Amino acid sequence: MSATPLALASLLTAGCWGAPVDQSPVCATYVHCIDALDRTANQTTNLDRYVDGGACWGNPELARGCTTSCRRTLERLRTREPTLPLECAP
Amino acid sequence: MKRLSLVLLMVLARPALAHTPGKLLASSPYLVANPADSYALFGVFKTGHERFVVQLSHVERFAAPVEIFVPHVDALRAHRPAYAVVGPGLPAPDAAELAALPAPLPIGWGAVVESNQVSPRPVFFESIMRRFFWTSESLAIVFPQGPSEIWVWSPEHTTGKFGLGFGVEEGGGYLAALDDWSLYAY
Repeated sequence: MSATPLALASLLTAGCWGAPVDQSPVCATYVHCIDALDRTANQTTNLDRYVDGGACWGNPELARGCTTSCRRTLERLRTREPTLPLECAP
Repeated sequence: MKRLSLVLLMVLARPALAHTPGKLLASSPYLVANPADSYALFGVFKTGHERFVVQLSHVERFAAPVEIFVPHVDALRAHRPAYAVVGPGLPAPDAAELAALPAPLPIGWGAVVESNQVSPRPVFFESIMRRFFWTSESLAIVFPQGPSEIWVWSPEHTTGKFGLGFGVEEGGGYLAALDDWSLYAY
């Protein structure tokens, strides 16, 4: 289907923007948790999206998605890994 | 006048942050050119037995949100595609996850499996296409350094459209969606 002017206008005007927001506490925990796991395994992970000031916190819509991803991933880790570092605790 | 309005709109509008759109085909893997960017890849289960494959290669271990979503229409209420990030360096799946995978896991590979069973099923409003979608909800997945793949399949062999999103929207590649608006915006 070819694009309509309405579709173009929608794309140009409807984007997800808004003021940057603070890093969520659960993602701060996620970052500390992955950092701690990395230290144990002597490796590093690029966490740039999730750190304070990262792309996750560019607007409220992005922040909601990232926060959900941190919460769900920490829940999974706590269920599956019996010996997590303290940094991963709730 | 209409043309002038459109030009003004384009000049005045702030560029939206969006995933780069792409089209998934069951017949061939989708090779991600820039895995540090964010993508929204759309496909259609025609038989329910397909496996869609996305291939990535990261230069370093890389954390990014991943989710799978389906148009919020009544006909797709039971359509819950699953996905797995698979590759060397990922955790070993448990027996149930291993059994759920749509293909044997190569030796030495691990998997993060998302069965898309959150209940009640979450819904989000996608502000670029201005459409509602059911979502698996995002997971923050650490992709391994080197090659990995994302497999998408339909565990109950349901058919219909789906989208796979990964990364945090940082770019403006959304204008490519105009090439196939009906696929992306349903």
